[in-house]
Amino acid sequence: MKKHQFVCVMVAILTLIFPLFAKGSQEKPSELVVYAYDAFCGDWGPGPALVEEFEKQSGIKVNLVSAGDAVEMMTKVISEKENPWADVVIGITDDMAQKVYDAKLLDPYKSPMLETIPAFLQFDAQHRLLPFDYGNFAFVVDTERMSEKERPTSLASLTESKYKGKVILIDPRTSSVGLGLLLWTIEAFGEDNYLAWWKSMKENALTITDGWSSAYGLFTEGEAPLVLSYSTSPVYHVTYEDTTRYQTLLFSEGHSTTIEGVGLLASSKKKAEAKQFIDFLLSDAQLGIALANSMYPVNATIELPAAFDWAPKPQKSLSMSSEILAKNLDRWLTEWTQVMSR
Amino acid sequence: MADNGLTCSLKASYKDFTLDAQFSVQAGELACIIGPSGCGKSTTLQLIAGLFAQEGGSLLLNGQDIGQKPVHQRHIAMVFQDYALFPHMNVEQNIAYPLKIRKLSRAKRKERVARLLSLVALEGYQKRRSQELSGGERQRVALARALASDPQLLLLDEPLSALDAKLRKHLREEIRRIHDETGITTVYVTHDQEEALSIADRIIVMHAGRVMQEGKGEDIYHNPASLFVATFMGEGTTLPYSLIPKTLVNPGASDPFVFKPMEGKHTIFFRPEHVLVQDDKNLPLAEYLPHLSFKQAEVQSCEFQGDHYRLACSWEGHTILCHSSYRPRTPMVTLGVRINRIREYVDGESIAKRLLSPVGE
Amino acid sequence: MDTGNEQMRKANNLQYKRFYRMVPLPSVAVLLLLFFVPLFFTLSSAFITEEGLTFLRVLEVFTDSYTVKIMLFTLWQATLSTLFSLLVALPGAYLIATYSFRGKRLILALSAIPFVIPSILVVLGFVIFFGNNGFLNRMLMSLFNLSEPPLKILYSFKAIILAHTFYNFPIIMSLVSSYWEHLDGNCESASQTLGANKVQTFLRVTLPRLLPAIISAASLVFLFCFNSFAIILVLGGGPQYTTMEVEIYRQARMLGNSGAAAALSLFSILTTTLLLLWYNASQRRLARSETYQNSKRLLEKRPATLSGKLLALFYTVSSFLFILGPIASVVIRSFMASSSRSATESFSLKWYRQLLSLERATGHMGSALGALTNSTLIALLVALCTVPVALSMCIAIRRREGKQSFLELLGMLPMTVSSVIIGLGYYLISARLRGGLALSYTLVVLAHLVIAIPFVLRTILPEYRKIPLSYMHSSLTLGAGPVKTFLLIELPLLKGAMFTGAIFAFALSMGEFNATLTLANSSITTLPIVMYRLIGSYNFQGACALGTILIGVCTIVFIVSEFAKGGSYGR
Repeated sequence: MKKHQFVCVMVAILTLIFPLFAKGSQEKPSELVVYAYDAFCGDWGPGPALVEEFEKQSGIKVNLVSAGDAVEMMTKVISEKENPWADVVIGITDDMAQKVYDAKLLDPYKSPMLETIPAFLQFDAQHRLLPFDYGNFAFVVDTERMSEKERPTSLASLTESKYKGKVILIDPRTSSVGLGLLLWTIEAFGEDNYLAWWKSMKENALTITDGWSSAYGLFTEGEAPLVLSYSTSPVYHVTYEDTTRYQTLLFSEGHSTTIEGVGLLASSKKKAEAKQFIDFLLSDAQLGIALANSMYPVNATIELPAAFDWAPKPQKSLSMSSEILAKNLDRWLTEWTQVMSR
Repeated sequence: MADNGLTCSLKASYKDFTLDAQFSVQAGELACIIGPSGCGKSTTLQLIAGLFAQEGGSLLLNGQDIGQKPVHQRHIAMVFQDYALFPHMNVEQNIAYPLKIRKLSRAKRKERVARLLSLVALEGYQKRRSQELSGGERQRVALARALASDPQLLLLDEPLSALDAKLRKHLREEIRRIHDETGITTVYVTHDQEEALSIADRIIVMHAGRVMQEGKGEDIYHNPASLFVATFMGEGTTLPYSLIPKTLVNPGASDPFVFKPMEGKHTIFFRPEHVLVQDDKNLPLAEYLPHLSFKQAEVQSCEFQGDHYRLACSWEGHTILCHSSYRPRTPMVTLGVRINRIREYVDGESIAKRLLSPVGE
Repeated sequence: MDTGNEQMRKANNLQYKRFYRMVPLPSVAVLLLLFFVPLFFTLSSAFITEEGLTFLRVLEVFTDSYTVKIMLFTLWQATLSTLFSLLVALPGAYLIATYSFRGKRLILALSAIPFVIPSILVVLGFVIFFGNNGFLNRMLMSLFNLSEPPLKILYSFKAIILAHTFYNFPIIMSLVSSYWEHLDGNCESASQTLGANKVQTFLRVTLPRLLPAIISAASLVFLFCFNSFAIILVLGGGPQYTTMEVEIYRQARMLGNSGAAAALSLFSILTTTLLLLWYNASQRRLARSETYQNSKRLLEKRPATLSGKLLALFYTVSSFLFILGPIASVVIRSFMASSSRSATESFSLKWYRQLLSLERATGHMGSALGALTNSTLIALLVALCTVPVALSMCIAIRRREGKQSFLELLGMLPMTVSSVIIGLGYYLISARLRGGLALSYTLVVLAHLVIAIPFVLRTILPEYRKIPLSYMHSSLTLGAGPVKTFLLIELPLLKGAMFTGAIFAFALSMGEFNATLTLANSSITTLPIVMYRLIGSYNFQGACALGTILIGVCTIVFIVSEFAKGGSYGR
């Protein structure tokens, strides 16, 4: 008797809840819906200022939706394929793009602004994703703990025994920056040799952290003089702390580049407005994005503030096609784990 | 059945115990339920209070069937073994609790609490916390609280079991006095037969979930309906019936007694205070009515009890308990018990006297 | 006749039971909506592939030698961490239960702090205190004129155990000591009069009686260590120390393979649920095994012997160092700033001035004050909501005592599931529910509620089980119905436990990060979120300042609760 009642109540609750989950989206046709990753949208990100400016300029209302972090946003867009809401999606990086291509979600858009963007940044030849900012992975050095001549000049030199316990790395299984280094080594040494580099790096790594935050935290606490980060990292220290103590090291193999792209959804019913927004993103919004995101603008005509002098651009930019990446990532991570946990 | 008072027929079964008890209590009576631990006496109280669900039977209180009423509408108050004084309330708040439930005005509550406290002789204890009270004081507060609810029936579940002997005696007199002053029908559970005999108007002896005997204390003590009641309510000696021919003495009469043995285990029982003790083997037993005589009984132990000595004697492998007004001077004594003091049982059940004398009793 | 009686009996039962059966429904609904339904959807992907339903993937995970190896390591480190936590905690529990000394309440109050600050801050605190360039090493280096840091504790298996011990021993200490305090001391006296010396008495009498409390506390700690993530990776020094949680993260987030992640989670959830069942059983044993003393046993005023004094002193000092070292490092760091990085740092209120908008804020510091208000409001709401919800579950559990309580397990489960998996579940909710700020607030509060329920349940339920049934029965016979009895007797008696539970819920909500971020779509900024933003934008000292405020709020709250507990009755 009691059990029956309990089951009935459970069923009742479930039937009440399911419609809630099934309800999905409500159409708000009056606005241009833009998905962006979380950090882009908060009051600390470039989003709010950029939207305000665009609304003022164009008179088009924009609903900037914070869709979780980059991975979650992508999953969200793909899972909403049947029931689309967004018109524009901001922040899919070149290395993750394959899944979105495969889902055939995006319309190509050959923006007039592409002229201002160097060819090496235009990672999608079909222009389904257009680059809007980019950055390089790089090692940052604490100049007070490592003199000029001691500093490594290449990925290869980083494996020398004098750097034993002096480098902080990040786990590619849990961090996109960590993954960046893994891809960087593959791009630099090729599939056959990258594991050898990691093997010899094992001794030199003080620790391999879960994420960039803890790695950089250990670094500024003085635990080690070298850390994996972005080439733009010193900009903050120059701007807000007025110090050049932390400097980017340029490596002779070149640097792996991560490019963030914006895309127009094929399902959008407001393509004209969406295109206008993308053009804006690639022109007037460029400086704001670069400053707030600590990335380089893709638009070559943009004049950067002096602090960006401390974020040198590498001679050589390395990248990998998203197709190859998508095909091999699982295997590479497994191989990496095997080598590193031995 | 009686319109007034409590009439109950209770049935309930548990994992390894079945309760099936019928008894009644007259209005204004103080009844004791007594029995060894595990006999179901506390369960009986909880069934009456409605804390446990009944399986059948009936429960009439002052002519009303209360068997299906929820606990709080039965007007039955209960004092628990651990008193269950609410630790977050002081004495006044505890006693005023049922009054507050019934939404009595503050002034009336105050007055009523004061009256109840003077009834239980705890004037001025209003503001004390329950943790500061002694065991006896807690017991009285619990009683006052139960009385405050103006119950039609008061249940007391071994209320004195946690107290020391002297306090126990004092408090049971108090309970009797309070009962007489309030006149509330009361059911009192205890495992102490002395307590039951001294306090109760009516005693209900329970064993293994059943009522064994119900009646006045004197009746139960002097005419126990079964061997169990006989041995539970006070001490005594149980001997096989077959000893009678060997020990029977009939001074002054020549007619022999008629023996009528029965089927089953036939036993005799007598109380220690009915045994005569003679420690001088040269002198006869000072008994001139028909009696049983146990010669050459060896004194095993002799305990001084104040007003008498309690002896345990061994006679032909049987132990006989007796009271003596003096300490025996020799280890060997002669014991005697009058025929009319003897009760007979077959398979534990009381029977009419089978040991018949033509002289008559 | 018979049927009449049967009906009568049912009527009699229903008078109370219908009421009690309805009581936990709202809490069950909240748990279902915010925990079980999302969890069910997340986990179900373990069985669904493009080809349809399959058990192959789950089977694969359960038999794969790599996952089994990781699982074994996860269990191994959790076991070791638990053992060491016990080793450190039990002497403390003894001291607290036996003696009264200065700083005792403070120790108990501080002990909950590691529990509520985000793990990244714990890691940072550890590094600042124990690191190569940390406080301890720098002190030793200047003292003995060394060129190399002498203490190489971090970045090894040792460090994992150390950090877990730091994180968890206070919990064991406070749980075991509070049980110990209420144990009847007569058994120990009896044992000594029977000729056993102190050690024998402890081993043969005290320890067996404490065992249920120890097991219950230890299994709690085991669960935390089992799901530990950041500490193991950062302080362990790298991928040779991989736990299930890391593997789940890799599958779910890096490879987008939610099916494999779900299969892995299923594996670890099964393991932890088994543990939880054990934990539950020991909890119930705990409630039954001893007649709980209503009053604390008389505490000896101060340690009597010299060795006792020394032990107390040593323990107080070292546990202070242990708990406070890393926390204090975070606090001290927040008061440091320098005009330039190359200049030496000096004392400065810069971050606090920025926080209070007394100075132009740099970067995210500007949103900190608003976040503080947000966090406090949410935490207050959570504290206010969690207690009645948990209480309603306790009522239902108390009524069904003796049977394996399904509800109890239900309430404890959120504790066993990894944050990555819960994160996936929340993501599912946020994707389905689109709405305004009000909805975001509601979801965040409800999610915090789900996270806090196991802890609040844990605080209230044992206290509830200690209330003798005769109190409730007594109230019923005095004419109060079940509702009135609850309001006038049970509720006031549980006041202390409810208060402690509310404090816990408050603190947990203050420190919660993952669920807030996922569910609120960054429309709500809380203190931990700003803290992470600050770290993300290189401002560690600012983050430390926020961390200090978090620690401060929690300390005040816990100290208040410790003192409130001391004054409560019936204990």
